[in-house]
Amino acid sequence: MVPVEHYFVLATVMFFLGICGALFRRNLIMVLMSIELMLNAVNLVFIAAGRGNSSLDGQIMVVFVITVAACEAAVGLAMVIALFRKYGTVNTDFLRILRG
Amino acid sequence: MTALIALLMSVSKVWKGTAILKGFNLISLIVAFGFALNNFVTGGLGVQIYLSGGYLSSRLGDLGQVLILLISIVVTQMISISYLSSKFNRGEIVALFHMVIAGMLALVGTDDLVTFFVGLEMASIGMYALVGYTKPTKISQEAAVKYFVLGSIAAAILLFGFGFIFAVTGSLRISEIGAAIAKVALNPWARLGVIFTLAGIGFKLALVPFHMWTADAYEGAPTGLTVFMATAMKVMIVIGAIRLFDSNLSEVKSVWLPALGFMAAASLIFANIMALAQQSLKRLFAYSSIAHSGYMALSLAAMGGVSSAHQVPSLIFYLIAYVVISLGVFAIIMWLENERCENLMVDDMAGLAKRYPLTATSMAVFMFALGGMPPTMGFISKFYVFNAALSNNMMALVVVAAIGSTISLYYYMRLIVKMFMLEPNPALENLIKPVKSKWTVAIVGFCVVVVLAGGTFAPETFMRLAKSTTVQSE
Repeated sequence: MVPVEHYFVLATVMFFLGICGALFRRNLIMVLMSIELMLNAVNLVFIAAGRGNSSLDGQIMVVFVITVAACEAAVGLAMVIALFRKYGTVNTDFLRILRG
Repeated sequence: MTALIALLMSVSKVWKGTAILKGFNLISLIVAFGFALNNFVTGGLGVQIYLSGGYLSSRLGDLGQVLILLISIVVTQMISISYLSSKFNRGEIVALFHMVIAGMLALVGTDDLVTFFVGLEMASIGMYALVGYTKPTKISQEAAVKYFVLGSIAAAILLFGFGFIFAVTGSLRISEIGAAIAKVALNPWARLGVIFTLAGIGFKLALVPFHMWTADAYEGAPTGLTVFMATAMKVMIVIGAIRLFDSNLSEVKSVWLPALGFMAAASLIFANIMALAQQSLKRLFAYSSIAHSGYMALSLAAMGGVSSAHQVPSLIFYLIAYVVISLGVFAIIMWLENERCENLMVDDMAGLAKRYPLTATSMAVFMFALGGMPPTMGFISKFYVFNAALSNNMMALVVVAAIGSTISLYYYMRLIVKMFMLEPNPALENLIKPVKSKWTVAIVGFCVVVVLAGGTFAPETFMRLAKSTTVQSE
């Protein structure tokens, strides 16, 4: 059996890829996908940890995380659509009224 | 109680009539407030409907619920009398608003990491939507997108921290984590978990270096929601942070205390310096709120020490003072705003004392309080926080906080100078024409009385209130 730590390392790598994507990508859709990647890395941690601790709590948490991620995606995509209607693009470089 | 609000929320979707909805919104909040107050006073003997098994009956959570509902009622009333009323009193907006409140109530009352996360996300996701949707202009949508992206990253970071904490302790109960994590403090995964949790909290509390979203979100959001973010959200996060870090993670404080201290110091210096240059009033108060988060983080850091009998009350006292002052400030700002003049500048306040002497005087009281000048609650609350930090040998942090506090006096005083010593700008006299409103007078008057009373003859009363939260929370 693969030790639990291996899953943790994989999840950490996934998570940092997600952070980099969310912070450096200029396309809002890509940003949303990166956030999903981060949440999925979290799910992996919870599943692996639940397995390692032989408790079901981890899986319960994952169900909640998936649900919340869906809500987040819904709101996020709604914003993307609203922005696209106003600006005609989903590139975040156009968001520059607020600064300083 | 949370379920009660959720139930009322779904009903409110059906009723679209503005007048009914407005009354309904307020009444449901007041009913919920009655329950929360009853819980707080009787110590949890009242009616309680749990959101999940993780509900913890504690004075701290009850006080948080009372505060959040009180803020909600005041903010609802403030919005209803402003030009935003017709925008805000729509079925879907009110439903979202109640969802946010329900999430906050769930968070402050829970002992379970699952409910903690779900409550946080209910509150945050609702807020993203409210910011962008209440008044869908370009500016508020931009604020919503920035708030959404960074808020979601913050939630994921917090959750990542929870994941590793769960991995090393095997428990999702906040009260059980402390004992379990003490045994594995040197485990690198535990360190990672604690640090990520702290970063997530820092994001939500808007501490430097995780503060990027704050100024944009505060400025872009409609003012009624800015004040809600600045007060209710802060109450929620601070109480959640007390739960997480107070007694439970004190065993591993060598991991998070330096980081929290650094975040507090950075917020105090950086936010105060940034605020010096701001022209927009809302942006100014956004940076001011980051700085005040810094004081709260300082107080939180002071808790990592030996006893919490001293530190938690000082933080609660600071929180109450900050909430009251902010409500007063934003009540005045909202009163001055109208459809054509939404984003007030600092210069717009010039000569306010000539036109509205009473308003300007109240504003000056709030400015003195935010700056921490003696006859107000702001001074006493800072005094308690510094005192608590000093009793824990955090001399360096207190010095930094004192420097930050001195810098902040400049921009608070600048506002007072503008209001009292300059002539009003004639062009603005036609633009800013607030109508008389007895609710604004009531809210501002109440805040002024509390701020002055809390600073002169009644700080003990508030302190006793704050102290009572620690009695049963252990």
